[in-house]
Amino acid sequence: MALQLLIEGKVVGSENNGVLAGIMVRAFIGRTTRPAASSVTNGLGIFTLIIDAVRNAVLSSGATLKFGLYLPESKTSFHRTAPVRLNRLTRDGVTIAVPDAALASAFSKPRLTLLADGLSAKEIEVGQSLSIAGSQFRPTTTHGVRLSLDGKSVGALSLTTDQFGTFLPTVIVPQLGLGAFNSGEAYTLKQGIKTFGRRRLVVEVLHRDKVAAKSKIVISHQSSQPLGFVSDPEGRVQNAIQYDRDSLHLTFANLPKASLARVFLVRRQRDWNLDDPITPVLDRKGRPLVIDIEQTERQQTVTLTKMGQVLPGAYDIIVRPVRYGFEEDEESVLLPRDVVIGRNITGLVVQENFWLAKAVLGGCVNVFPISGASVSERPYFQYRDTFVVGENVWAALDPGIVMPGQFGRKVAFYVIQSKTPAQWGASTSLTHVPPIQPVEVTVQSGCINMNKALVWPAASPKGDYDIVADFGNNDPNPANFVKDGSYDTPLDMIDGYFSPGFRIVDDPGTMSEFPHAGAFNVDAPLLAGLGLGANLTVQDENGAYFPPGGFLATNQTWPRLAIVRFPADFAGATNASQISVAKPDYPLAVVVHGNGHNYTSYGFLLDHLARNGFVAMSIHIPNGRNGLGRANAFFDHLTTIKQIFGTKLQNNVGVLGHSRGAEAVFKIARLNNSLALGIGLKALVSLAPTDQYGDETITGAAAVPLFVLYGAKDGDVSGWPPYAGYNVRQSGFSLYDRYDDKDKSMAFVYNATHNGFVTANEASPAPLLTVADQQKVLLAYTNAFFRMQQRSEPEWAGMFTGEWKPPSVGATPAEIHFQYRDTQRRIVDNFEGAHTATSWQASTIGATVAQNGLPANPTEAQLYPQDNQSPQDTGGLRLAWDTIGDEVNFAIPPTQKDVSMFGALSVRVGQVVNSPSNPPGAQNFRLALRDGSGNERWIRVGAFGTVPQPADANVVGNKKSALATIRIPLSAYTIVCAGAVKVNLTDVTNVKLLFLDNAAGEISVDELEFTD
Amino acid sequence: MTEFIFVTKKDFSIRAQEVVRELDKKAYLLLRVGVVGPYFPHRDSYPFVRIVSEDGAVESLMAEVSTDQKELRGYFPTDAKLTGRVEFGYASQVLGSILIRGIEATKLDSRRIEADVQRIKLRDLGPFKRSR
Repeated sequence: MALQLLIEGKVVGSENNGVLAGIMVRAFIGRTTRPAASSVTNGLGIFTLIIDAVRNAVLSSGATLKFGLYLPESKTSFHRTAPVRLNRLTRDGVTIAVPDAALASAFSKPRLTLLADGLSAKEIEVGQSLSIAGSQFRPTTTHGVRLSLDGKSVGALSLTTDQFGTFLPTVIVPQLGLGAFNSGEAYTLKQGIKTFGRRRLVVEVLHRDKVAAKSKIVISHQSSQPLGFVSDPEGRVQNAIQYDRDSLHLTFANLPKASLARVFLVRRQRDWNLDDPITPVLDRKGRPLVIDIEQTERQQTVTLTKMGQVLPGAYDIIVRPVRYGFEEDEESVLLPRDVVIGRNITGLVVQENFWLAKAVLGGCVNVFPISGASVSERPYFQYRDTFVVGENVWAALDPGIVMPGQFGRKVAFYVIQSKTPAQWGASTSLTHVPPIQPVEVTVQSGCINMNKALVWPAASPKGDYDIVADFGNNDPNPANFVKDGSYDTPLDMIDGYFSPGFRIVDDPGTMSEFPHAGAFNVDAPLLAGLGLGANLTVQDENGAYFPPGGFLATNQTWPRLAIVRFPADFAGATNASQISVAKPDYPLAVVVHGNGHNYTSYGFLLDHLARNGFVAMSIHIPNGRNGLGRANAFFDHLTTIKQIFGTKLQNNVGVLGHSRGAEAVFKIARLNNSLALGIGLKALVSLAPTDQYGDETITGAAAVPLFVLYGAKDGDVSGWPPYAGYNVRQSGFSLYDRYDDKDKSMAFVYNATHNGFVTANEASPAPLLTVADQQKVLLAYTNAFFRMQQRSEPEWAGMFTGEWKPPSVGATPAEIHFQYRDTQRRIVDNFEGAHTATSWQASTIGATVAQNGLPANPTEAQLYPQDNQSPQDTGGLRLAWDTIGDEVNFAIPPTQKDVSMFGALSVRVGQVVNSPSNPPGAQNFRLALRDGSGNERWIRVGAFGTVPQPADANVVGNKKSALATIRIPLSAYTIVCAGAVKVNLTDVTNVKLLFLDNAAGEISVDELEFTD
Repeated sequence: MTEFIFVTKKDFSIRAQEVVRELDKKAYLLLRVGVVGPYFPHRDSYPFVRIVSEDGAVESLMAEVSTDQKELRGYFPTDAKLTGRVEFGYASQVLGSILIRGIEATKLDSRRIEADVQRIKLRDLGPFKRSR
């Protein structure tokens, strides 16, 4: 047996305590020059050294240890610590603080690269974007970047290296030469070439005012690359236009030969790749914005639309040289010859009149997304709200959300512990958390890339944070800027306030609380040792049926088999007695699989749950068994597992069922209550459930918190058409709708399938999420839900309202939309009861409902079959609008007017599939509250949720008019600031649906309520 | 991967037009006959479209499922006659047979077609002859 010494430590800079990653750490014993161990610091600056204690003679009391730090591939250390006696080391680990001089010597030869439109270059053309990339700079350090043109300074900004000393490619001059450096003056392409052609631009990266690296690039006096940009009528660059004021002009040059140029206006997207679908947006009148232009010159400026035609938003523009008759040029996908305007910069921002467009109308809280991540590819930034410990947090201001008067002024990004609205009311001061100072940028109008900064390298610790963009003294000259460390409306902007701006969390999809998972099988030998039989016999149904109890009971016998995982302190644990000693007892999680599935397929999930503190088991059920048999098998196995683990097992049970097993979890909840079984059932996860065994409807004392997970391209339980006597489309939607009296959540995962969450995707139209990505969804949400319900960890709640995604899921292309209903609520209207032509006019809360301007009265009905595409099993309100300003108005009776004890206004909404009224993409409208004094505020639902475009299904005809829940914090209606009307939440008289964002639409609405 | 579609004949229609198709960096003028239907899966089995008349069957020079999977497209010589029936399917599995009635191909304006585009005819299949 080897005796080993384990040393953990961290390497930081002595000045700012910023972590140093990718550093080789070597340990030397006594005066030896041969290292006893070596390790490389990870993204958190942490290293682990394992030293053979005997061979290195570290057991004597006088043994000493010293550390040497090396850059990768270097044989010379840049820092050596003083010797430390081994017996002075503590359990807290070693922190090596590297002196400033040592850092200066180590990172004295950084590498700086200049890029033209993303490619390393020594020459750049006017209109291309200039980026920098760098490595071997001083890590976790803010650097200055200075730009000089022919020796004269023309600009400065600051950038922060990550913990590895790297600058990811970052645009520092978008559309170079199309604007003056020191003023807002814009140029035409010709003017830009005349002004800047043949001139030399020098980029210097400074650390403490000393040049750390320098590079230069020549501006070409020619224009040869295909180029396009939004401009004014004279061809001067203009990336943002105002909706109600400006026409849209486009300037392009050097396009490949063609008979005409076809221009597509499309939604802005993160990146463009060949074969990406091109879906033109619609103009104000619902016409696709595709415009053909005759190419007359090598460079020309054309008018695309008149003012007021392109709706406010951010867009990319694709210019296609179309050759006559060429089939490929008619394809609605991105082609190699296409020119994308919007890769390096925002292609086009159409702004509303700023003050009318604020998310909180008339309010001054200025809540906008700011936190995110820098992306190495175009367009270099992605908004995000959740980061795992050790990730880099970036901040950015999209020019489209900045008040026009603030361009050219400096702003400082503060990262602070998240505060509630009440705490903000008490104090507006900002206490910056990261080890580096608040980063300052000069706000530019042209591109988000100029307004972004790394604000927190290697972010830690876990917690909720806000980012405030502090305009400080708001001096028009950025050189005179002074930050004031205070969040002052209406000028400063915040990512936070109503809910945390971002979170730093352990990822429930990857976190591991216990180092090992023990494993054993429940099988005949083990059972014999327990004095139990090898088989079980349970009651089952004889088939599918609709009326509750409408089945013939059959007894079924099969082998009592299961796989079990449990938390363990060492690898290779195979006995329940080896369960971790870290805790006295553990909760239980059980998997009940579906028909045609195998209980051993869920080992990856059990391993994950065991490492997160659960005893986890998956039980065997043979093919052909129905719902009741599965529930009864669960009860049988519960007896077994209790006997195996004894007092180590809590009476605290979560169940995950899949397919028929997922319907069985509802039976488990019902029978546990009706038979008074006394099982401490705390959580139900229903994965892709069937709904074919007796119209299961769980309410009252039988209910426990529920989470339903369902793939939009489920090819097995597809939810269409009804069978076995049912009168609804049978799926997780219908089961979810009938469930009541406990918190419930449902995730509808686009492009996910029936089996893909576990084993393999069944045949379904592309695109499909990969199995690996679907498993990430399953691991993260199951672990978080069980931890939340069984281990009382409320921090995961936001995942189940759709507020945030864990990074392991966020990194996948999974699009997920949530329904959520809290037990604490006051229903305004749930559209239940007898449905008649006029029943919509009376609400659940006991008051009137009126419409104004709709082309026809709304219809209150069971959503299916009223809408043949609805998967829901609930009453709802179906309505269409055709004019901006149409509304539906729900009165609140005086006895119910005080809603101040609730946290949110909530509604379930879905687009009606196949309705010609809905534009492509998400639908939008506003929810308004009005009080007894006539104060009224409108909140755009898109600010807090999505009315998503319906998902593609396993077959075209099965597309679903699925509902998604939108929750608007009530504080959004009460913020006090200059000029804003405040709604008195103790005196609410009306709730309104206002249709101000799209000229037409058709939606279904349900569960309009005040809730927690 | 195997997928099946369940449809009736009335779910399908056909349309035809001349198109310029680039293959291996060369451009060819072809007659595209498209069977429009609710959904065509991408299968490992190769799709086909053929024109069957009293004179015999003309197989498409190539066939493919459109990007939106709503059209199965066969490419023919530009002088192929649109008479008889269009048969389509995968491998040996015939999914449908549609009577050609009142359908004329939409022609391109030959004066506007670029000079280096090669027109494919029944008697001059050009490089497609290799696949016959």
